[in-house]
Amino acid sequence: MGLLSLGTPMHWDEAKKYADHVRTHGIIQFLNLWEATKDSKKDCLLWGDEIEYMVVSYDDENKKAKLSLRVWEILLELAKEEEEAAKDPAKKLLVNSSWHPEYGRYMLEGTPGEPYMGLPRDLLAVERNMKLRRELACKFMKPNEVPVTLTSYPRLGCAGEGLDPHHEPHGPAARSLFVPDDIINAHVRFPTLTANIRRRRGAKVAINTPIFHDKNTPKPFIDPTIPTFNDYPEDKNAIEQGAALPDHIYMDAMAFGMGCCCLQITFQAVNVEEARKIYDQMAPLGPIMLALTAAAPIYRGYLSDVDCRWNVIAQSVDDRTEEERGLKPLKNSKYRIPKSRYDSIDSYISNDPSNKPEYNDIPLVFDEDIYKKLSDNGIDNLLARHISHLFIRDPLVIFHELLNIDDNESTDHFENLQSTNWQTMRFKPPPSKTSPIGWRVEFRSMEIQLTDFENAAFAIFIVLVTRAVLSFNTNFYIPISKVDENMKVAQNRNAVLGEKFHFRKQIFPHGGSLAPGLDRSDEYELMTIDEIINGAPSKGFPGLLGLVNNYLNTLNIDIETRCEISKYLELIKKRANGTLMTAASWMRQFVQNHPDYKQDSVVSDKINYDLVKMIEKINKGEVQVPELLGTFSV
Amino acid sequence: MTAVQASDDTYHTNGQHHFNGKAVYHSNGTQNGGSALPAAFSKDVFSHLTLFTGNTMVTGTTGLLNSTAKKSNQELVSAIDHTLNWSLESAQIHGHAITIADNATLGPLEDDRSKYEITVKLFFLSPHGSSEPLSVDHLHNAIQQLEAALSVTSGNLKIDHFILAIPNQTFDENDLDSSEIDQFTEDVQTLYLPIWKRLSELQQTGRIGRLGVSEFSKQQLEILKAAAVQVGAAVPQINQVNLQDCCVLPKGLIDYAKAEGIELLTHGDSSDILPKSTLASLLQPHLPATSASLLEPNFVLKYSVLITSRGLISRKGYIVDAGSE
Repeated sequence: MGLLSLGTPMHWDEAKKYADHVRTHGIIQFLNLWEATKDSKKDCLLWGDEIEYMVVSYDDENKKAKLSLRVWEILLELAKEEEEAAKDPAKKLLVNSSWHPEYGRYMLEGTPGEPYMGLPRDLLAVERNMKLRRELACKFMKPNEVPVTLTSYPRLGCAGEGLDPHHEPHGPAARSLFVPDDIINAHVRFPTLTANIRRRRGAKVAINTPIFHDKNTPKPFIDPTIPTFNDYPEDKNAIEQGAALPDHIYMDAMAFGMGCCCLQITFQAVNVEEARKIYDQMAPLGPIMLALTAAAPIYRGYLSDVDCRWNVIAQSVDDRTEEERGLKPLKNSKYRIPKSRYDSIDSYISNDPSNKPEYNDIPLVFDEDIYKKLSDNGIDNLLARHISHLFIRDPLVIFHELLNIDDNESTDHFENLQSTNWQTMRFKPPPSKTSPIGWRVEFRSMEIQLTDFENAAFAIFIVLVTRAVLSFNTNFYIPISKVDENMKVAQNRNAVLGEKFHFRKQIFPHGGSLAPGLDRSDEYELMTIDEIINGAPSKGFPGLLGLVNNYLNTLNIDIETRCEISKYLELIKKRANGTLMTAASWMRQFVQNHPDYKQDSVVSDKINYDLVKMIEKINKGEVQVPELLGTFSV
Repeated sequence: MTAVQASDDTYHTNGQHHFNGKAVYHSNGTQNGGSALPAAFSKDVFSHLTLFTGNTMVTGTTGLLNSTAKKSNQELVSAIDHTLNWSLESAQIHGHAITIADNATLGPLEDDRSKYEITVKLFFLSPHGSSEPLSVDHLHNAIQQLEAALSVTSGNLKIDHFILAIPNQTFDENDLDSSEIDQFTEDVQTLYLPIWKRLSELQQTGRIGRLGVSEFSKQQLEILKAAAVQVGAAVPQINQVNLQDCCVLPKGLIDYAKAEGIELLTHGDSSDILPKSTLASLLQPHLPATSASLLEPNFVLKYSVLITSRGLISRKGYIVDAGSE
């Protein structure tokens, strides 16, 4: 069930003393793993998706859609199914999935039972399996419960009884003004993570998301729903200490970020070089796909001015001290760190000749001693920088029982830091020396969509893009600082149609160097999402869909499979050119057209209830929503 | 090999590369940007042309295609154009025959043969209405040329899927009337059966895996099958259909294919993939005298090399054979 070691976790005051221990042994473990797996070769493309759900519990009498905190019971049932399926091949066909807990006590994560493979025909299995998972999850839910794939839950943290069972906000771990600790997964890792982030930071996390100013929204907007408490020192953070900004929706807990859902895709590369190459090539696509999948416009009962979850999560786990954030001169903290440990990547890592040094134009903060240790042990410059950059962070959850382990057998300490750097891409070594699993890359920026049809479409699109990238040997490199600029802009309201993104103009391999007088800034220009996805024929730019279609047209695909795949690609095309709305735009429209909406940015219980009900109906095929899904059947 | 420095390149979707100033693409030493031609060839009249395009996956040719076109020869035309621009200087001449090859991206496969799947589509291009059977010599020649392109010893190449594309064949969803049936039956006997028999032999000896045709209707498949069975030759296991027809394929064809175990694979190739006039206009800027002599394209061999276990395309290219006899 995921990275869930059992044991007694340390309080931050103790954990911080072992930070160096974990780092030192983490590096030794990585080096041992590297020695054993650096030449590993896997001849098969294997890949998988991860879907996260929220379980909603309807109170139909009072027209409320609450979050169900009963998920651990559901997970126990699902675990039993998985166990039985492992022994019984017939059962396996019906179950064919794997289930994991997530941060929120209302969250479920499902993955396919077996990885998908690389033939076009295998892509047709994706939607089928996603639907199977949803059905299976429903099997163990009460009649008034339903799993929804919503990126952010609109009324998470609102006053009134929004949780089932009900709990009052304010607990020792999160100390949140809005959510109880009971919203956090009960496994000891999660509240420890929450509390240690708060303790390390020296304050509660402060998430401020700009509010959407509608006709009747007060200007400036000072949130009247921020309660006051007097139990913990952090209770002063919000109002007295000014953490809650005017014209923003203020949130103060990890739950608001890590309680969001997303769509993650992991694929296995043939070897470590290919993994590094895909990591770099897909990195510039992170912000593009974020804008295209935008599905999170509502937070804590308010319409926000952003359509995506990314910055919310970044702020929700930001464990940096004031010194690290540059608010105070460095005294106790070692480095000035520009980003939260959840954010976009800071460097390219491939040794491909097309990766010019100038593309890594963000000054990288990294641990020099760790860099030296890696370098002395044969790790090349780019990979050593990457790892020593991940390792500037402190381990947040250390279990007493797992402190001293065999560095030759375990990678726990390495994984501790690897898995608490949450970024747009993740470069994943084999899980162990002996595992049949190879080097992998994870694509992490996409928001989860409302239906399995859409989630399948985006998953398939990403995999096809990786195949096209490798087949055409494309070059998407732009300076990484420009990728970061794209990330900021991608989250803006309606970015998919209203914003432009830096993108490389000439994406096919060309030898030789740039002409004198030109610099890297001539290699890219601002393009719309439509151009990036659908191409700009006048500029000779094929677009990602053009690449994918040209790739598909070279394979031997039977007509039925080709037609099915074309449907998914149609969805991508139409979202990119504005024929169909993103989930975020559609949700905004739903709220703003709702009879109860008072044009004041407030998403009431009734509006939330009707929205969730509508989403359920869409999933069941009971209602058509042409502006969101055209004539596609879900 | 010098890497010449570039100014702004603009690519147009019809495949013509227009460079302002010097070109940037590196091949094996031939860089021929702008309009400078090797004067040596302009007055020669070659009576036979063999042209090997490079790997269209890495030259940008395949990647830049307008993928919404229903049926197109854009890829072939762009690839020929690219090869003429870049590889003419390294052409091999034997008497009146010229061979032009983009050698930089040809050569042996990087990994073990077992990791790949090789697909060949051989377009026969006899003039319209020709009564000559499709030439077995051309078939042998084509396979040999492919072996050369992949640096495989002659006689050693195993082709996994071989599609025979007969001249001017376009899928017609309407049923044939009885005179059309008669005509096609006769065509199969006289024009196509000899080559089909040869292909079957190659399949029997393991040189070819699966055999297929392109743009056949159900009736045409039935007629071919009947003729093949009669002479102990193989039956087709693949029939290519155009991608854009996917929603309007006749149910009869779909059912027949299912029953017979024929895979209906998609394709987007023009039925007349290299008209004489197209070849002439491609040659005109480079080999004007040869262009004026209007060489007759004999065949075009289209090949692709896939790494199916990883869903990757390793190579894609064309071999063009044209002559004036």
